[in-house]
Amino acid sequence: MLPDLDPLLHSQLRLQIITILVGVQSADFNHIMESTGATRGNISVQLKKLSDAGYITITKSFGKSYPVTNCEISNKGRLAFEKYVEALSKYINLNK
Amino acid sequence: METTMNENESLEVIRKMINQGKVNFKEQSIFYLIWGWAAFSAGIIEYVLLQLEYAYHPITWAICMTIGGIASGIVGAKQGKKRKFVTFTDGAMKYLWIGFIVYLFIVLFMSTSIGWAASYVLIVGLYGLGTFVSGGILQFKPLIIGGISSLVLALAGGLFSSVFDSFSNALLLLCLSLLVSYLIPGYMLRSKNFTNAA
Repeated sequence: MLPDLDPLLHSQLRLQIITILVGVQSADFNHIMESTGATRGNISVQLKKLSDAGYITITKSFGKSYPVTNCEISNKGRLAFEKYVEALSKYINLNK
Repeated sequence: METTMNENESLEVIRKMINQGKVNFKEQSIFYLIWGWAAFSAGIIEYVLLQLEYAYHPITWAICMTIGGIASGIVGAKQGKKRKFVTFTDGAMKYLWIGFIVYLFIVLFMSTSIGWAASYVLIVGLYGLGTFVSGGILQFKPLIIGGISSLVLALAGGLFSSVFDSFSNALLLLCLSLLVSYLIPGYMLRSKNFTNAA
C-alpha cells in the first residue's frame, strides 16, 4: 500500500518554501518571496500554516528601519520533508 | 491560494528550489585577500625594517592589521545587509574563523615565553589549518592545497632550528605561507565565476 503524501507539504507554495529552508540554515521573507515568485500575502498565510504545524520557526526582528522576518526549518519539518520525498519516490517508481 | 500537484510536479518543485541555497565564492574570496594582503604586507615591511635595523619594526603589524580589520568589517557589514539567507557553509565558516582568532591570540600571548620565531612557526601551522578546513568546506582544491602547503612549511619550520631560532627567517616563512595559502588561492577563488551548492 502506498503511503499518504503529507497534505501540508503537498501544495506547491508550501513545498517550495520547505525545500528552500531545507537547503539553508535560515532565510528571510524577501528571499522566499523572490525565490517562489508568490505574493507577500500568500507567503504569510503559508508560513503561518507551516509554523502552526511546527515545521518551521519564524523569528521577527528589526533591521535598521524595517522589520526582518527570518524562517528556519525545525527537526519536525526536516523529518516531514524526508518522509514526503520518500513517499514521493514510491509513487514515481510505481508509475515507471 | 492552494495549488496541489501530481507526483512529478512535486519532484520538479523540489528540483528547482533545492538550487536556491548557493555559496557565493566571490563573496568569500574577499576576506582571504584582505587578510592575506594585510598580513603579507606587515610581514614583508617588517622584514625590510629589520634589515634596516629599525627598532620599532613590529609597528607594521599594528598598522596593517588595523587596516585589515576596518576593511574586513566594512565589507562584512555590506555583505550582511545584502544577505537574504544563511547557508550551512556560512555557519561552519563562522565557527572555524572564530576558533582560529581565539587560538591566534593564545599563540600571540605565549610568544613572550616561547619566543617570536617559534610563535610565527605555530601561526604558519594555524594559517594552514584555517585554509585547509575552509577549502574542505567550500570544496575548493586550491585552498586545500594552500592549507597543506602551509602545514608542511610549519613542519619544516619546526624541524629546522635555522627557522625557529631566527626571527627574520620565521618572518619569511610566514610571508611564504600567506602567499601560498591565502593570496594565490584567494585570487583563484575570486576568478571562480560561479556558485556552489551549500
